Amino acid sequence: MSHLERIVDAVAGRIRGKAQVIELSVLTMIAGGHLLIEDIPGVGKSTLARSLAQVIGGSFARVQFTSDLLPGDLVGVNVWRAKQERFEFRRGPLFANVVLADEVNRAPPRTQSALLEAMAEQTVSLDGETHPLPSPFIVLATQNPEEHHGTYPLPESQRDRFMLRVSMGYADAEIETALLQDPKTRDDAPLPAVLPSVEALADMQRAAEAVFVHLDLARYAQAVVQATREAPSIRLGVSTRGALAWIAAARARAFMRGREAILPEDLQELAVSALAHRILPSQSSAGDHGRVADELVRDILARVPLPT
Amino acid sequence: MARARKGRDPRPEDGATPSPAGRRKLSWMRRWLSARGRSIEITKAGFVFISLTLAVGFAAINSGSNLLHVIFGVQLGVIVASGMLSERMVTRTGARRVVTSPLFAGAPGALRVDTHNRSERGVLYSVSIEDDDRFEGYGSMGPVFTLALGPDEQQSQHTSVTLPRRGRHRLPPAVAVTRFPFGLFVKRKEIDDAAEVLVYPRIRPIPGIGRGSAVLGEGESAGKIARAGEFYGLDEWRRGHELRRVHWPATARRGKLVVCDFEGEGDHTWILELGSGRAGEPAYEAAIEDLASRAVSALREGGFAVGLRVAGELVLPAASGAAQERRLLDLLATVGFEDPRDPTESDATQRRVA
Amino acid sequence: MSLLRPRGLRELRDLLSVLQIVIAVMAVALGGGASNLALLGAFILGVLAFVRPLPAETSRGAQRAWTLLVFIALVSSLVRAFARAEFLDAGIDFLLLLVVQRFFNRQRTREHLQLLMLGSMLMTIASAINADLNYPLLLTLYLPTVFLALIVNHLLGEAERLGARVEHALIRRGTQDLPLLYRAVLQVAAVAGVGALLVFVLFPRFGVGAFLHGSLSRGATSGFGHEVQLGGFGRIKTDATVVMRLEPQSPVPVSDRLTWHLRGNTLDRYEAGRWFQSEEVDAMRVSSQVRLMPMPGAYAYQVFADDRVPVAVRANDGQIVAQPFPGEGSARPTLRVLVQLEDIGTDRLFAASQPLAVRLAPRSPIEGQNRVYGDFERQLVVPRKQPGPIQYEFVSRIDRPSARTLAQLGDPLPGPEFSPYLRRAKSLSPEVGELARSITANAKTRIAKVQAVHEYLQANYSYSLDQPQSDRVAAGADPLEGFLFDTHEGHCEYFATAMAVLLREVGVPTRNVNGFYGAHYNDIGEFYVVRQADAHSWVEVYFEAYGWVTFDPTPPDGRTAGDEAPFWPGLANMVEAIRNAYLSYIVGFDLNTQFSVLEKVGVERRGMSIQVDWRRLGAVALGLLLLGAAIRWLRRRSRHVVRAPHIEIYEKLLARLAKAGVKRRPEESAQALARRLASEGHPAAEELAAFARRYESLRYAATAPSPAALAELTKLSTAVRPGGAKTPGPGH
Repeated sequence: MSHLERIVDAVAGRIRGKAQVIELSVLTMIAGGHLLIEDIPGVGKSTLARSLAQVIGGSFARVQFTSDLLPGDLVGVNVWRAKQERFEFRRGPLFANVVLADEVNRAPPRTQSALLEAMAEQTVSLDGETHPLPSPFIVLATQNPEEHHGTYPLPESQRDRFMLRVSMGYADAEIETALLQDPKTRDDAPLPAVLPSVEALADMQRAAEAVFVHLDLARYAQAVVQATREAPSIRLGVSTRGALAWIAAARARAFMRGREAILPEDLQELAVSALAHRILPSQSSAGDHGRVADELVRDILARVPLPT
Repeated sequence: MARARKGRDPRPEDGATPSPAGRRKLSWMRRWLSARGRSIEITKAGFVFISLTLAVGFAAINSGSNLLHVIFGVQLGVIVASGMLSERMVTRTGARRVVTSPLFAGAPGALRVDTHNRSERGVLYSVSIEDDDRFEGYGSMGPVFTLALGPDEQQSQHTSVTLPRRGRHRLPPAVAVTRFPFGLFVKRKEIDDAAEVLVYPRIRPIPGIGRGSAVLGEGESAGKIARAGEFYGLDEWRRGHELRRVHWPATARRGKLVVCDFEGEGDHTWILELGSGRAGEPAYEAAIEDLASRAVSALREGGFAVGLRVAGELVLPAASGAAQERRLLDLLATVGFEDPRDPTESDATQRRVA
Repeated sequence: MSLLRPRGLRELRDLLSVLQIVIAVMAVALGGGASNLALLGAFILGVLAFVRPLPAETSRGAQRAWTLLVFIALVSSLVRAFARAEFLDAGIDFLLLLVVQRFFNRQRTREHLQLLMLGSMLMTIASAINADLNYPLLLTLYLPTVFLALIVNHLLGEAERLGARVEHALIRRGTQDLPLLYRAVLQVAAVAGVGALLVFVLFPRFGVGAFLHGSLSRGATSGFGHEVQLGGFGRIKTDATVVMRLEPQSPVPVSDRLTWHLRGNTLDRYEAGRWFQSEEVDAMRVSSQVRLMPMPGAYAYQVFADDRVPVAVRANDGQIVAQPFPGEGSARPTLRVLVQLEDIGTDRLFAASQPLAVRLAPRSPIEGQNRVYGDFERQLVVPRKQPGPIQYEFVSRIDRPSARTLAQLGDPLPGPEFSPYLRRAKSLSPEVGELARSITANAKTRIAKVQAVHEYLQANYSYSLDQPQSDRVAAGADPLEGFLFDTHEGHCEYFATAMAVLLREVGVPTRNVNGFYGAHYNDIGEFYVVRQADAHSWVEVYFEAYGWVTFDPTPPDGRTAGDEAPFWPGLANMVEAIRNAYLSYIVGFDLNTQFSVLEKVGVERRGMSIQVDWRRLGAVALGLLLLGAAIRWLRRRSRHVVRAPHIEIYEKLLARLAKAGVKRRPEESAQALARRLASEGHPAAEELAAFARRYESLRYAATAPSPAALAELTKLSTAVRPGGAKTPGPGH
């Protein structure tokens, strides 16, 4: 049983009935990306993030984003140490392997920017000083889908920084019933680490990067991305960064399944998660952003032919 | 086949009012030639050529002259080749139209037309993408012409498109037309790019909008709001900041003074008022156009924060800026339609079946 | 001039419009349909139209002037056509005027279209009047030109139709897409060519003939007419233009050169260096009983008859035989030759002396309107001959009574009706008579006199094409005297005239005959060719019961003087052969040929009904089908991309699945297809899933599959049975 399977199993033991989300989050981790979870509160996002951190033996931090959250609350502040007569950098919650940024859309744009900059650079800079973030560094950000007053939905350019977007959804009726009947199934004890060290994850990331992508599949991916740019129903198509993220995710998926090359299904299965949050439908004013985008991506997927 | 659309009576006082959308009456020849899936039409030159061919054929039969038969054969061959080539041209044509600018009713917007040669071997010659002249009232686009496209090549051309009414619409019906090679016959193929576009109400320039201007018309002005604008974020207190902007919970947490930042907003907030009505009613449409024109002018030039109230209900809180303009126009584009979808949708589907 | 090197589409269109008109006018002119004056005028005005800068729009005044001019031209053309029966000339001149008018106003697509239409009308007219080989050549030039012109004009028309923006883009793009357009021209030309071929071969030649009663003829003009000036032949001795093609229908020994005297016209009166027909002979022609009449037993032939007694008959074996010479055995075999005579502006038909019978073999209804008449001088005349070549067959005897037979006649006194043939020229001095008498002093019989003069001329005179003028002639004497007494050299006309004139001095009836001597064998086309250079002049002498007998006083080397004429004999032969083939197979293609072609594919006409040999027709159809399939296959093969073997295996499997009603969606991967089948409960889903796993792992791997892997894949693919043992029913 490989490390990966054990990671997935361990997390799945904690959050039941969410195999797909677990897989996608592990996959994001291996691909070195960040995950955007778009969902209602209270479906186990924190549990997922914490469990992930525990099984890889890394540190975990949870930040609840609120309208008064300041960038400094995230990255840390320089504190004047009178004794040493110098500023000392006090690390913020971002200095952890797994960061759960809860309800990012509640924080003002400036704070969001700080988070997204840290995600992109894997460093934070304060007063001209750059502080590297731990490696691996994975952000699981959640966003409330209901748009209401006083929230700051992530702008398109920022959403692009997340490798995948998933939605958890409620637990299966059966599992939820079991959960309700016997609250003991909720286990808060920390999970034992599966990996010997956090660095082992970096090895896996390197191995995933080496997964082969056939030219035909690269062409296919390009055609799909191109189609999002040309579809009249889409105002803003997928960027090159988005396409790269898609391929990286597909590589990680293939790696997780023990393959040396990606298959069409890797791309197709991940297309909605990897692409939908990067496009902006033309009918922006009409209703649920996310659902419309999902449908548009599925539409395009059904239209772009795959070579035999 | 002209079908009058309900509630779309042209307003006599406005010359630019679109005519009702529907099928145009065609000549009996066009109708006969395009019946049962045919899509051919004979041009004037084509008629001349056919009569010339018949004359030569008659002369050939009459005289029995071999050379006349040869010429007759060449002419028949030309007719056949014309038909074959033009048929190929339209089947090779793939076209898609993408609107690249906001569309206002009755005003030209930017349109990109991508023409694609779908053949892997043949060249695509002389195809134009233009309005389907069998319909009228759906709007119009400027024609684009492709002289020659190699196998599997694509070409993007820019032109304009005008839609007559606000709302969510399909682009005006277009056809790929070819008269290749000799201009004797016209072949058409409908372009099926089913995308819908949002058409904003017609906008007229309203000069002289400024603070306290009388041009504003109806609506309610909330006057100056003391602390204006929406919450933007928190910042550390600096000398000069009003004390009442201090955010006390944050200050307590951080141990130093923190103030709230607000988004800068116009000095005047102006909530526009739109009565109830149904799309298509001339008075209602005129009111919407008027409202949109004033709102856009106020947002662009007057520096107002503009909001919208429809039938007494505040649907758009006041705000300023380009995003607010878009939100406002989005709303005004679709207001009054029972179904927010395209009111001409049923037309469009029938159009395709026909 | 920008016209010659087109930079933009407009210039190209101008060039093409002019070019196609030039070709069409050439075709008409070469068919003799346009007067030089009209051509010159059209040329000058055309050049003017292109030199002058084209105004953006024709002014109203100019428009009105042109309308008026065209109207006047129309009226005058109508007058010309109906009053003077010059349909063709008037029509062509009018078309030329319209062309010029369009040249001056050629701004828009419409005008160029009209120019193209005018060109096509001229080309159509040319097809009726130009039966020569240059027509198909011009047509092959004309068609691509006109196709390209139409395409370019169409493009500019689209620009005109779609507005300034499109026009601007099109003009700016210029001629850079031309190579692509050439491809389109070739495609159209190919289809048009096939159309032409099909119509040509298969379209029945009805030749209804309505409205064809009018004559296209403008009358024979010059050449073998009613008079010949001494010295005229010298000029054409170097002219290699083909006059006639001969195809012997009866066996003749194959040789490079035939030695027949192909006689055209006879002239009886000589005066001052000029042969012509006297009025007496003309009168005799009317009253003479010698006429052509249908040959008994072979009515297609018209045979010369003297008092209704035909000079030749059809023997029982089908051969046409001549009546024997008096006292000379039985009927003699004859020579039968099919002739294609070019339009050389004469209404005479040529036949080897002595002509016995003739049959017209028209190849078109127009040609079929010709009628032939014969007179007592054995001339064959086609009055009001239609323009263009004419095909006929002549029957002649080329044997002649022997000198011994003729000697038996002695020297009878000719009857009074022969006085025209004995008439002395007033322009000749008595010296000529003295010379004649001195030559024939010892001759007792007529034939002896003839031979004496013949020998005298052969011995003392030499052949030359140059004819230096002697002092005597310069002083006003008859040119013949210069030949006889001063220069002693000249060409065939001098020899023939000298012989005729000298014999008349001694009471022998003679006449001058003009025609062609001999023919050259074309071994490519296997026929004989007569050129202008073979034009010849000789003498006929009357021998009572034997009629007129041919004598040729010209030295043999002079008769064949034109032989070296063609510059490249081989090439000339080839061209001649092609031309002949064109005339007989293309121009001469008719309903009968069509039926014979159809017979070859199994459709035969028996009277009014049509018999079909299905087996043969089926074989032909099958052959054509196979040919088509082969071409298709070849084309597809050339299009076929070489695929990797594993993809091939998958595609074959997909084809099998498709046959069983399972279609892969274009966006579906192999595994997705397998999953879909599994969800649909297809019996082969499991096998397909196994295959798909293996296939995709090979398909998207970094390395090419090994042979073992391929073998395994093949095995997996054969394991998939699309039909399945179980048939998927609704219960699945």
